[in-house]
Amino acid sequence: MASASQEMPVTMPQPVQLSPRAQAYFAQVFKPRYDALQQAVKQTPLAILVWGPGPSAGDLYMKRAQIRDELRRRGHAAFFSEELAGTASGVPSQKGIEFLQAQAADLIVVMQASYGSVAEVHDFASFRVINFKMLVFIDQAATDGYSYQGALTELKTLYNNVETYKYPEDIVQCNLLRIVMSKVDVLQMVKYRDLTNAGSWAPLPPQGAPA
Amino acid sequence: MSSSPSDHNLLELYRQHRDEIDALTTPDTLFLLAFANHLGSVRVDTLASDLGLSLGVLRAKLTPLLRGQLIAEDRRTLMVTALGKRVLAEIGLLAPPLAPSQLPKEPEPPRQPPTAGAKPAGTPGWLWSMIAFLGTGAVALLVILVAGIVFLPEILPPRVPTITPQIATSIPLITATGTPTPSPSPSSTPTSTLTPTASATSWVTPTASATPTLTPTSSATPTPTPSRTATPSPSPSPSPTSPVLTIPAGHSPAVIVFHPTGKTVYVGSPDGTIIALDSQTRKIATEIRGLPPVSWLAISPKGDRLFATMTNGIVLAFDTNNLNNIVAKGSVDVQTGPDKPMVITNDGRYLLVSDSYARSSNVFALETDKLSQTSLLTSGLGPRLPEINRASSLVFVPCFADNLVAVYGATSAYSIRPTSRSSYVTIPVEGGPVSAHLSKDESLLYVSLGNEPQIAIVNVKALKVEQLVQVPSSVLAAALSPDGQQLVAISNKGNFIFVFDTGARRVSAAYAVGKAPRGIAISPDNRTIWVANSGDGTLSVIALP
Repeated sequence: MASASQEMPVTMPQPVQLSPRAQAYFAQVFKPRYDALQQAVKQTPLAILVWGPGPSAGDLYMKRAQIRDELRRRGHAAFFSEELAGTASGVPSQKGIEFLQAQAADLIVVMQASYGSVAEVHDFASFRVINFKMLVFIDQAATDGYSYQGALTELKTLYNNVETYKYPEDIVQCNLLRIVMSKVDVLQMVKYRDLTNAGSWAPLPPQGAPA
Repeated sequence: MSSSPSDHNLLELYRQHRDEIDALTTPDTLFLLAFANHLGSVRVDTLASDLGLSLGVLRAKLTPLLRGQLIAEDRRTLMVTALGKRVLAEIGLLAPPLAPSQLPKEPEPPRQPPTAGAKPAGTPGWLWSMIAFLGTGAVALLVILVAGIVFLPEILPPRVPTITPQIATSIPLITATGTPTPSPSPSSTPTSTLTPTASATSWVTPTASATPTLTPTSSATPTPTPSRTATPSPSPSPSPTSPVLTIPAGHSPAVIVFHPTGKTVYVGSPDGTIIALDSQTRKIATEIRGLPPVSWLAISPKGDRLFATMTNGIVLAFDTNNLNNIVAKGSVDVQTGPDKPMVITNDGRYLLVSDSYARSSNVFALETDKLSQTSLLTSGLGPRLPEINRASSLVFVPCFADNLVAVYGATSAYSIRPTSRSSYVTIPVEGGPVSAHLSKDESLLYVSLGNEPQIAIVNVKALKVEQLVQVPSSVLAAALSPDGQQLVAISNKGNFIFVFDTGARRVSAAYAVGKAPRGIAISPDNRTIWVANSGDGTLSVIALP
């Protein structure tokens, strides 16, 4: 398997069959400014939790670790919840800790593989203050269940933040990693635009408030 | 810039500003916006010529900009809106338009796109282009240049859509005519929003070579062991070309099958719909909704029955004269996995349904009239779409997870032994076989691989791999043309398909298609390839070379 950096180079195609004036504009105006924009966006890292199965899950766990590592390589603050365990004191349960962590994150990448774990995501998805942060990836085999058909379908309808993957193809072929990075790239741009006070954006309610 | 979490709901922000964000994260779309603004106002055909695009491709690129009101069009003239200018200004891309005196001469007249079915060499040469690497160093640039040379098809689809004038002008929008539940307008804005545009749809393709090869060899693809050395497929000559027509079909089409007459195309979606399209007018003739998620479709040799498998194991038989009439219903005992590929014996008597999940090894045989199960074949793990010979005496089941093709005799395949363990012989085929197609004379079996960019050619008599041929990409699904001369495969590495010439044993062409292609079918008249693109709800229709 190729490393993540080999799979997903940050590239930009440069047209060579443009008209002369388009070529001139591309080289002299567009590309330098686009480069600067990309640099600015890269300076806007996201805080990302990567939820999913533990080491006993084998290749799924390895994929989870690969996603975290690739996110870190791209400059994001990416963590497993278990890496942050113990940082919250006075919290009665593991679920409570995870909830607090989730509130502090920009995004939560959730990898689930079974009916049972889908049900766990279902529980979290019912919390309005964090459900919109979830990028949920579910084994296609688990999408027939009640939990998927319920809250997760609602999330998919509203935010399209629920993806299915095929096991093992999408794991082996790194499709899952690619999808995660594509979505994170988009949301990084969203955060950049948000933080730079996008003048063309209408004011939005703060997170957690009714949309 | 702060790395603290945003105060806002990023997904909600994206939902509200999807078109703007998609433009900002798609370099070619952003360039289009910025360049249009640079020109002040520009005619659509002039802009297409400036960018070296066909009008059809430019129209597709313009869609999100028009929908997001970043660009406006009036009588074929484009102008960037106030909103578009503000976005460009906020990201530092606003440059004042040139005065007319500053403008260079108008570009040459638009290049003539190829006619349908034209040789790929007739396509414009704008595609093959050079790479610029953003924000990283020279080493990374070198990597990409090398990848562009030897691994191009794995990075991006080899060509972008080009629509011939003859066909483009005759594209009818799909309208529901006489359907129980009309299809949504293809131009409607979806409510689902987190769909970043893949770089693979860029109209320009990075490569350092003007004549890229379609024989990828890179570290991303393990080198075959000496015992299975693949024969490189020569570069397609001429270069790959592009789809001639893209039709929005709505939904998330995942499987596609032709009626034997070729007049009707049936498309199934996991959203529980089956639509019947007139293959000539591209209009929806019938649409069935409210089904469980549709996994696979197959049609009887006579064309009187359409069979559909659902992800929950339900199998339905529809009367093709009236799709609302379900003439039989059955089920197979599947617990896992949504993929249930299905094939019908040539005598029309039996259906074989694979439970394609990697941990399953079940292939079910059902009688087509009652959809009752007659046999359960246990194959290798991850059974895919079976192939049956003309006499219906041999069944070949590619088993993705076990790296083999299981071969059954008719007795074990169809005899009424509902739960018996069937006997079969195996052909080891490394690389994750995903499809198997018999040659016209049935002496060879073309096995497409899901984990290796190779086609394995199996000698049926010897029951062993005779040759491995290098192809542009590993394969998701494939179809053999009715004349047996071309195997068309969907890449699972990008949004493109490629054509494998079975006679020459080489790849002859490749075509860009829509997002996340999953289903493929070739018309009975051997003239067109139809691809169901689950990622963008479209069908790509391509003239078979």
